[in-house]
Amino acid sequence: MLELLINPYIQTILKVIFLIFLVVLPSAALLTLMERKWSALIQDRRGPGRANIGKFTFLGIFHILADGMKLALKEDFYPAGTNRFLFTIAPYFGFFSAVTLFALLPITSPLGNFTFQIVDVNIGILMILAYMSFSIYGAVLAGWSTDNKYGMLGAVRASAQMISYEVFLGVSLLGLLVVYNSLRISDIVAGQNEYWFNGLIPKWGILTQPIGFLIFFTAILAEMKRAPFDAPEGESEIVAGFFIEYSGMRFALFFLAEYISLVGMAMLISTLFLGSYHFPWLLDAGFKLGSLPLVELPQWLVVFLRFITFGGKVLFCCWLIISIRWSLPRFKFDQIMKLGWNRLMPLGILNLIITILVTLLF
Amino acid sequence: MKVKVVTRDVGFLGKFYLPAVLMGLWLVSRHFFANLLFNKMTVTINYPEVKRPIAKRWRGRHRLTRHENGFIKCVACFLCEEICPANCIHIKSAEMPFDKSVEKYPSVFDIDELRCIFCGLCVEACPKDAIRMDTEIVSLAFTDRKKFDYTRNLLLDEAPDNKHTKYTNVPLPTSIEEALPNSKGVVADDLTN
Amino acid sequence: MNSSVGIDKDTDLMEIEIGPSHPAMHGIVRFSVSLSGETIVKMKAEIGYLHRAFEKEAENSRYIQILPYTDRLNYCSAIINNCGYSMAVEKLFGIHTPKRAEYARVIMMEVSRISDHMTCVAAAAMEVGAFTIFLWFIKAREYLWELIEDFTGARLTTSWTRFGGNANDFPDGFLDKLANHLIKVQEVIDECDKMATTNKIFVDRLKGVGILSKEKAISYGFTGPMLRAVGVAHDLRVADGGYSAYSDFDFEIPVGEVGDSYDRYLVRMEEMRQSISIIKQASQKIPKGSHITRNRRTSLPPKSEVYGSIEGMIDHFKLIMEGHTPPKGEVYVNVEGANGELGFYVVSDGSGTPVKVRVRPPCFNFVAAMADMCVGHPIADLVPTFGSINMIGGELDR
Ligand code: SF4
Ligand code: SF4
Repeated sequence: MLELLINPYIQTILKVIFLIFLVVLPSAALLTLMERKWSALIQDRRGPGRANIGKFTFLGIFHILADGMKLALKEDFYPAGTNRFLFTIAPYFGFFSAVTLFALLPITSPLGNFTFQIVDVNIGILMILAYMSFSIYGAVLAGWSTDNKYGMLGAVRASAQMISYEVFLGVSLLGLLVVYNSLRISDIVAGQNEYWFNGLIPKWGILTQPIGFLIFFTAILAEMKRAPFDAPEGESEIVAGFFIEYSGMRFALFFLAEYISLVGMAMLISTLFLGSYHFPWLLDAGFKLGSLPLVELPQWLVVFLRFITFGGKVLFCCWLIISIRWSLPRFKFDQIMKLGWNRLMPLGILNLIITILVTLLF
Repeated sequence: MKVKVVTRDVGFLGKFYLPAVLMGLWLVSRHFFANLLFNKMTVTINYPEVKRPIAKRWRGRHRLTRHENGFIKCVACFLCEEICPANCIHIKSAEMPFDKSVEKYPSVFDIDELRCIFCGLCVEACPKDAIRMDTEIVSLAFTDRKKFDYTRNLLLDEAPDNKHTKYTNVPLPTSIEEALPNSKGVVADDLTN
Repeated sequence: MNSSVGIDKDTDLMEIEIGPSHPAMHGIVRFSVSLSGETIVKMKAEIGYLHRAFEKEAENSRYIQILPYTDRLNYCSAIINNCGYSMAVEKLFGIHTPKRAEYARVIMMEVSRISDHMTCVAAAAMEVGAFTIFLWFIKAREYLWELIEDFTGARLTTSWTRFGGNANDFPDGFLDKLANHLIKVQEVIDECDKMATTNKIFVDRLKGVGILSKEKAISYGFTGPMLRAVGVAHDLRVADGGYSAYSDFDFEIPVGEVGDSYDRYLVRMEEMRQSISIIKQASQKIPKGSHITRNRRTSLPPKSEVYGSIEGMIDHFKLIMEGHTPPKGEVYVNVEGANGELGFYVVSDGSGTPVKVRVRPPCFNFVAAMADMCVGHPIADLVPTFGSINMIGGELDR
C-alpha cells in the first residue's frame, strides 16, 4: 500500500483527484455564490439567502445546489439550425483550458519529497499560455455553431479580443521572465522569496515588475472576458453573445468554466506577481526579518502557513477581480482593441526594454 | 432665465484608466466593507417576514364600513360605480329589510380587484364614507381568478390583521334587534341573494 | 450545415432585429438594423408594442376618469402628467389653483423629475454595464417614491391632482421627511457622480455618441434635456414666464455644448441638483391656504358639507353623475415633463366627456431621430444612445 503511495504516477493521480474535487470545483461553485453575495454587499443589497434545507440557509449556500439542480434538470435543447457536434463540444474547450491551469501551479511549498504541484515542467509559463488559448475555440465554436446572429457577433468579438490580448499577456510576462530568468514556475516562485536590502523587502513580481503586473492583470481580465472586458457577451448589446443559445448543463459548463478560470487566474496572478505561497520573511526554517534572529518553526507549520497565505492571496485576487467588475462600465469593442494595441503593447515593450537594461546594468 | 453650461472637461485624471479604476474600487469597497462588517447601508427588506411600513394614505384593498350598530353604511347610491374608471364595481340595490332608518342597501356589492386600478376615486365619490381603502392590504395574490371578485361580505369581513375595524369577521345583523352597539355574537346568515 | 448567419448575399449586410425582447429595449420597441461588420448602415424603429389606446379611451371617459390614465403615460414621473392634464382642464374651465396647491405640485413635480432622471441615468449606466450605479440610483429612487407614497397614497400610479388643486394636502411630518430624504438622495447622486462622470471608460462610451446637430434637433422637435444638451436653453418652466409657481424660484437651466450622450447625461445630472434646490426653496415658503379651490363647478365639496348639508350633497352628486362640464372650447397646455415638452390638447363640447384628449409625448420625436443618431456608429453605440433618450414606452405609444 505504502509503496503505491510513493509511486510518482499514483501520487500524481491522487493529486489530480484531490485538486479537481476538493479545490477546483468547490471553489468555483463557492465563487458563484460569493460573486452574488459580494456584489449584493457592494450594491447595498442582501444577496441570495432564501434556499434552505429545513430552517438552515447558511448565508445562502444552498443556492449553489439549487442552481445546479435547476440547470441539470433543464431540457437538453438544440435550437434549429445548430451544428450539433460543434454545439456540443464547444463548452468543453473553455472548461478544459480552465482546469488544466491548476496542474501547473503549486499551492504550497513541498513537504519533504512531496510537492503540492502536479507537474513542474521547465516550460511552465509557455504551457499556461498555450492552455489559455484553448478557451478561444470554445467561444468561437459556440458562437458560430448556434446559427444565431448575436452569437456570431459575440464569437467574432471574442476571438478578436482574446487573440489580441494573448499577445499582451505574453509581452507582460517577458519582463518577469527576464527578472527571474526561468520559464519554470517553481523557479519563479523561489525567486520571489529572495529579498532586497538585507532581507527587508521581498522580491515579489509586483515589486520587480509593477508595469508588467498592470498589463498582465488587464490582459487576464480581457482573456477571461470579464467585465469591463465583457463585450463578447455584453448583455445589453448582443444579449449574451456567443453562448446565447445555451441552456441547461451546457450553459452550466460555460458558467462553471468562467468561475474556474477566475480561480485559476487569481492563482496565476498570485503565483507570478504576489509572491506565490510565500509570506514575507517566512523562510523555509522560520521567520527572519532583516538581520533579526531567526524564529524557528517546524516544517509542517511553515507549509501550512504558506498554504493559508496562498489561499488568502487567491481570495484577495478574486475579490479584486469581482470588485472591478462591479465598479466599472463595459468597454466598447473598439476601445478594447485601442487599449490593447495603443497602450498596453507599447507599455509592455517599454517595460521589457527597461527591465533588460536594468538587469544588464545592475 | 439663468443658463449654466455643463462642464464636459474630465480633468487631467479623467484622461487615464487607472484613476477611474481606483476610484471605482474605493467607492465599491467602502460599501462592501461597511455592509460586510456593520451591515450599515443595506436597504433590502426581507419581504414576507419583514414588512415596510406603508403610508397612511396608501390605497390598499377596499373595505365597506359599518355604522356603530353593525349595519352597512352603504346606501347603494351608485356614485362609486359611476365614477370608477375601470368599471369594476357592481352594485345591486334592494330595500333595506332590517333597518327602517335607511331605504336602500346594496344586496350585491362586488369589486373586481383585478380590474381595479386603485385610483381611489370611489372613496372620494362616496357620500356616506361607506367605502374606504385603508385596509393596508397591499398585495393581493391568489392562484384563482375568481378569488379577486370581492363580494360584499368579503369586503365587510376585513382581514384579521386589519387594525381599522372592530367588526372583524362579524356578519351583518339580520334584524334591528340584533343591531346592538356591539353586534358581536350575531348568528350568521347568508345575505347574498 | 450552417446557414450564412443572416448575411444578405447581395448587400453583404447582416440584418438583425434588436428588440422587442432584448435586454436594452425593455420589450417595447424594436430596431431593425442592418450591420456591415459591427457598423450600423440602416436602421428603422418599430414602435407600438405598448399601445393602449389612450386617446380612444379618453373619448369615452369623463374628465376625472382620464386622470388615472395619465399616470400610465410616463410612469416614471406620473405626477407631472397628472399636473399637465389637470392644468389643461383648469385652463378650459378658466380657474386658478390656490397657491398652496401650486407649491405642493411644484415640490412633487420636482421629486418626480428627479426620480425620472434617475431612472434614465441608471438605466443608461446599466446598459453600458455599470450595474452598481443602477442599483444605487434605484435605492435613491426608493426614497423619492416613499415621499410620493406618503403624499399621494401610491408609489407609481398617483392619480393625485384634481381640477383646481390636489387630492389632499401635505401629510403630517412631510417636510421633515422631505428634507431628510433629499439629503440621502444628494449623497447617492454625488457618489454616482464620482463613480461615473470622470470615469474614462464611461466617458468614452458616451462622448461623441448619438450626436445630433442643433438644427436637426430642432427640426425633429426635440424638447427637454435632449434639446438642452445640444445647447438650446429652452425650458418650459421658465419660458414665457413659466407655469404653476415656478417663477417664484431661482434655478439654473443646464445646457450642453455638443449634444452627444455625454451631454445628455451631464444635463440630467445637473437638472437633478437644480430640482433639489427648487424643492428646498419651495419647502421653505409654503403659503397657507387650501389645497383645492372651493369652486363648486370643478371640485367636490368638503366631506363635512356632503354629510351635513343638502347643497353640499347635491353638488357632490351633480359633479359625479354628470362629470365636470367645462365650457366649449379647446386648449393646449404644455408642461416641462422630465423628458421634454409634455402637451395636452383637450377639446370640449360642453358635455361631461371630452371630445378629444391628445397627448404630445416628448420621446416620440427622440425615437424618430434614433436612426439619424445611430447610423454610421457601431452597434455598441446604439445602446447608450438609446439609454440617453430616455424612451418611456407608456408615453411613446400611449
Ligand atoms: S379604486 Fe378606482 S378603479 Fe378601484 S374600484 Fe375605486 S374607483 Fe374603481
Ligand atoms: S358611493 Fe358609497 S354609498 Fe354610494 S354605492 Fe358606493 S359605497 Fe355605497
